[in-house]
Amino acid sequence: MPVGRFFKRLVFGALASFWAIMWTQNLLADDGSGLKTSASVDIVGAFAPTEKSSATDRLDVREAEIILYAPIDNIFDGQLSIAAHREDGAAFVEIHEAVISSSRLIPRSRFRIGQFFLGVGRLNRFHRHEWPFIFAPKVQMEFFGAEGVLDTGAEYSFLAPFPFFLEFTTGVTNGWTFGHSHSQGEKPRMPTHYGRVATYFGLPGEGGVQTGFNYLGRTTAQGDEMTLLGIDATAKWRNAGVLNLLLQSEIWHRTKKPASGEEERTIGAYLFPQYALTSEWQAGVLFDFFTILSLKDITGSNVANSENRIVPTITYRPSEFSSLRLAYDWSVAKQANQQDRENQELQMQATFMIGAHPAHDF
Amino acid sequence: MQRTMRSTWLTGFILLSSLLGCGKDDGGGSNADGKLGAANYVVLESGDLQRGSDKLSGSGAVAFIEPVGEIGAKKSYTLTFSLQDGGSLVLLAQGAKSLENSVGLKFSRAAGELKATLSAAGKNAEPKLLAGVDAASDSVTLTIDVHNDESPAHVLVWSGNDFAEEKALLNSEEDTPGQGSGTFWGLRLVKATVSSALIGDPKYVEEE
Repeated sequence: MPVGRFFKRLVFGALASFWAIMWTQNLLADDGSGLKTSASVDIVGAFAPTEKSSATDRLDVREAEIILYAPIDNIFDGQLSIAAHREDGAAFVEIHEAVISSSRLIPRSRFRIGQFFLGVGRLNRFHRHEWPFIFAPKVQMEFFGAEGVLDTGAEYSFLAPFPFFLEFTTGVTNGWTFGHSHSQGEKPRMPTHYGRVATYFGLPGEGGVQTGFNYLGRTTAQGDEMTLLGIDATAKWRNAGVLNLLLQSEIWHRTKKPASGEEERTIGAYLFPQYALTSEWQAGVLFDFFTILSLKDITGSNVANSENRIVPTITYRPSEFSSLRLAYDWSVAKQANQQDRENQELQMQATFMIGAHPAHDF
Repeated sequence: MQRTMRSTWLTGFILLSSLLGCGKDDGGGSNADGKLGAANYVVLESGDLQRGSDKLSGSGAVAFIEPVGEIGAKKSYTLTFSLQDGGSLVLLAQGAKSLENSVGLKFSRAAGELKATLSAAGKNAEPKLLAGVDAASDSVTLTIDVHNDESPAHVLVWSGNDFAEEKALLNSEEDTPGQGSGTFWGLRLVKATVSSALIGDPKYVEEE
């Protein structure tokens, strides 16, 4: 393990221990400051139903997170979340979110400054343990990483003064890295910048859908340009507090222009319909698709390719604070002139949350 | 509600059917200069390269015809080779058509030792001794993971079949000087013989 990384872990470990003590004391103190705390745990496992499966045959605590949030004063709110992930067989503690925010300083506006999950798409705006399925769709994994893109910067949202919901969000973050990285990266030529326009409208049967149009761009220190365009849509039909039907989907297109080399265009989408069998049991299927549109062989001929995944999932969710999930993950990766690569996994997940949790949007 | 449910499943079925239709074979081996194992290649530098169906030897460079996938792919390469004294073999991964702008991993034999040198973006990392590998062996087999989805690219090298991170003879993590910016791979030989070059899924997958 590199020395820098060792010290990073040491410092984070010490901070986390210190904070855990402070947190416990605060719980006992009940100081009337409005401070709220919660802890959430995400336990996942993937098991091999066939010999050729790439499943790990392990059950792991994928993530344990502690969230602390409160009004700072009459204008600002603050939130700190610290999460421990498994890495190299050990828990690696890191800051997930550390933000100061306000919805009271500028009319019809809210903003946040600090480190946060970028406010684009659907999955990227939610913590992984709150997703309706266990593992990220391929397009999320490839474009944003297994969990989502975190960065430090500023984000501003404006609610338009119309008789219907229309919200504009824009943000700029450092962009020294994007997604999975072991280094602090380099100062980019163009930082990560993004925007989302979201609206909501009702649907027949007392349903409603929120949809967003998204853009994200960044140019690395070497001059490699990346542009993401996406649409997310989440439709819900609720009855007496029970989510009877959920339809969640995102489609994203990415263009990568290396400073030298050929442009790459990729597209991916997922669709997740979920139906409530009872107030506690839900059944859903994740349909997942990904392809490289511009893939060519070295002679310049187009190379057809795709990755498809189908994941039937059953969820037991007696309350918003706990869930158990079981899923069968079947996937196949195809590329012309090569053997198909098929994989099957039996997956399970258990999540729980104790304490208060900040409210999420739709 | 019933109608909504029916539409949901119908939409899912149509999406699924259309997705599974992808993956048609476009051909592609007809322009090859040769084949090493199952992989077709074109010759980039002929040098004094001697080409047979089961090996490449001498000095020269080849690029394999099939792309590795995305620019940000994670792949594993298994190479079986031997080097004459002063010889070298370079794996060029995630390069453009002529393998420029790739992540390079050069294995060189000098004074009975096997050293590995990473390169990317026109820069070289410090050479690293691959301890426990007999540079003079008639057949060295090394497995190399190149995770070009990370910045900089993460490269790991193993000898043997235990692909744990701590067993890697080289683990670049933060030391590769950059990333590759293409979708092709190939080999550059100098006084070397390669009897097998295979590409596959990464051997090491980090937990995230």
